[in-house]
Amino acid sequence: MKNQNLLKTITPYLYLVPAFLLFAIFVFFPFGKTLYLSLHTTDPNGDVSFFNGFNNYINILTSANFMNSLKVTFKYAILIVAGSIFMGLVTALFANEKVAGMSIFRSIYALPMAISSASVAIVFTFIFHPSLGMLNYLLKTNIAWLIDIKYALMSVSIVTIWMNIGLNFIFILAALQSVDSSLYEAAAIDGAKFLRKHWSITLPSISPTLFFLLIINVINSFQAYAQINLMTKGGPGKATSVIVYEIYQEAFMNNRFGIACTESVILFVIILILTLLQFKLEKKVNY
Amino acid sequence: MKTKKVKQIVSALLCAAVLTNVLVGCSGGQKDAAPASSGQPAAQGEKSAGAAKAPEGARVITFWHCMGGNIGEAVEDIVNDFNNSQSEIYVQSDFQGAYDDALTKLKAAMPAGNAPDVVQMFELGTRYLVDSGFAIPAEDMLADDPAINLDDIEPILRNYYTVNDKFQCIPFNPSTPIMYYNKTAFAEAGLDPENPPTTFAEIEEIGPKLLKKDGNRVIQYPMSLFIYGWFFENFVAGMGELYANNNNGRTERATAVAYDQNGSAKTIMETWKHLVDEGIIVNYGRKSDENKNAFMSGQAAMTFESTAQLTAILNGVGDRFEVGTAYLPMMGGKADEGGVIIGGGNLWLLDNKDEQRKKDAWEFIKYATSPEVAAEFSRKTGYFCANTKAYETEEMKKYLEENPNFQTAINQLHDAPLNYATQGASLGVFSEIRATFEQNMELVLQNGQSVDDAIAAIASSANDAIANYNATVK
Repeated sequence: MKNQNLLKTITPYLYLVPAFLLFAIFVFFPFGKTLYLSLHTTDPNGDVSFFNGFNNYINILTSANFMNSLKVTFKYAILIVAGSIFMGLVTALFANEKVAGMSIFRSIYALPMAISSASVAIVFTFIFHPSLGMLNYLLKTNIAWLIDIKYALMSVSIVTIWMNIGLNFIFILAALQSVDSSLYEAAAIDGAKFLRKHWSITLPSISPTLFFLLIINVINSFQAYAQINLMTKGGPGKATSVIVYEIYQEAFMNNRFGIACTESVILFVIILILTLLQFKLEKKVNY
Repeated sequence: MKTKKVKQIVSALLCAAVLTNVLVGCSGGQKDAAPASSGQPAAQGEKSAGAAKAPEGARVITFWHCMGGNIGEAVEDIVNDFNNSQSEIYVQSDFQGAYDDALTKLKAAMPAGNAPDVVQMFELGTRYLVDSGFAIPAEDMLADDPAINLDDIEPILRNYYTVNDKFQCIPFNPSTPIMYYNKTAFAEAGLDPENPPTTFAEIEEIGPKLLKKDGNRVIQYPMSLFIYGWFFENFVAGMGELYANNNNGRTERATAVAYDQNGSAKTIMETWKHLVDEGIIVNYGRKSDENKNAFMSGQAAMTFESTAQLTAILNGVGDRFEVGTAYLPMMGGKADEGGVIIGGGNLWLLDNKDEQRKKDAWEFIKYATSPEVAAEFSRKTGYFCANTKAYETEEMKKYLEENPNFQTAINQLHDAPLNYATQGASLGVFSEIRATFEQNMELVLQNGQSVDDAIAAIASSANDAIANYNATVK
């Protein structure tokens, strides 16, 4: 009797073992190694040179450089998350109207998703070129989009938002199509106008999707790398040096793996806190 | 109750697992970097080599290079010619991206035992490769097989690549920066196209004449320049000053930079900024391509670039205007004792603990740097020939007579005096120091930082990096 009970308790965990094994090898072990390295100083080959205690953490948390990259990352994340969810919502609302030829627009809006961020970055670099670029030609301006400190972060953000629209568009469109149409009919009878209709019906109905997109977009924006590396290399100065780019620089250009691991741990803590905060917000979501 | 708690723990762990993906990039990637990154360039290499396979029974050696575009094709030609010239050794060439990227991959590959037999590496990788212990000094190979007479190597190259009293690698594609200018624009502005400026003071003087505007829109800037640490290093050497202490790290390991102490950094950054403020130099950020495109499209009348870009620039300009080349203008100081520093790539023999592979790799290095092959490569690209014997070949003599632009860089190199300043600094953390300079210079040009603050920031970050490197390398 007792044995049977024990078996009952254990069985579900046995099913988890294969997945856990994979996690252990590819996630938990590197995670542990990162924590370990963050407490050490490494030589140029990445081997541990000596134990450094919490000095890496102290150095980083007091370094103006790292604080700058934190600030840049938060600015960038706010721009990206707000911009891409808003644009996704607008395009999805538009594409949800029943107009002839809408399927063409739907494909076009989802298209950015199919292009690799590296190619997008290269193409936009041409568009942004200060004297030969299309953008300055069309706007009749003379702005160094990626070179001027005032514009660089915004330019990179616009490109990232453009890349993210596709994913947000698809999720929001799918959510819109599952909203109960009888609600809209009732609202129409009550005389609700466009804004009122979407504010009181659409947004609450798709809030689980929006919540999911919020988490995905926040994590994505904190991990932005390819477009930064290709378009600005963190410049001008350090104006677009987001945290992941900083980590890459420390690890692979400067060979300071210890410092890079410390920065990764800090990034992990930040994303963890943000995710926990968002789960608090989840209570406001209607399922 | 208990199971609930366990469930909570399990779900928390799973959540953590998803989140920790952030972290995996760091410590996991370090070991994975080599195999993962070599996959893609390998595919490229195969394609450009005409999907050729190693012939039956041939011994395969691997060669990493860093040349794309027209220069990459010229490198592949050398590899193919070598493979076709005999049937015993087959060189598998892989394009590994820019020098910096290749160095990063090499750092991961060497300790993991995935290093190539021959690698092309730029001057900044020298100290690192010597310290790594994986590189076999060329002079050791020459002791057994004196195929190359060291006296034939350009003295300035021999000077630069002699570390720890040994000649370390065989220069393959050496280069220096030179000035490119638009002769047609010079003539239109009433300037003598055969008399380009030789100092920054002269650039400032003629600059306004080369500015062309259409209303408010500038259609031709006097000069464009991108922020590149290499130029800074050359300007320091051009003033006859040292970049790092202990004679540029040549007499003893360098422990600090010297440009903040000897005043060269201040002069250079102030002059550079002044010309940008005056509207004579247009700032194209840090990317060489954007800068080059502006020159080739006629939007800038002068620019600085590597000699290696000569063929690409001549082809890009076509017959839109006439291109001139000149010595790199300098910024005064002890100009008599100064000159350009050599840059560019070298072939390094790496130790894979296999005598046969070492011999085969050495055969390839000898072939690729032999006078005839080097001369042809030079004609296709604009790089120098490291082996002075190459200039004695009939074809090269004729070519230089017909294309005087190729001669400029050679003369500039020969005119530079041989001393510690022009020998260039030997530092293990050069890439990083260069990047720090570029970031801070960018801020200076955009009024985000004063010159003095920038120099203090660059010097302290550089000195920290050097101290850190020296502490971890024993």
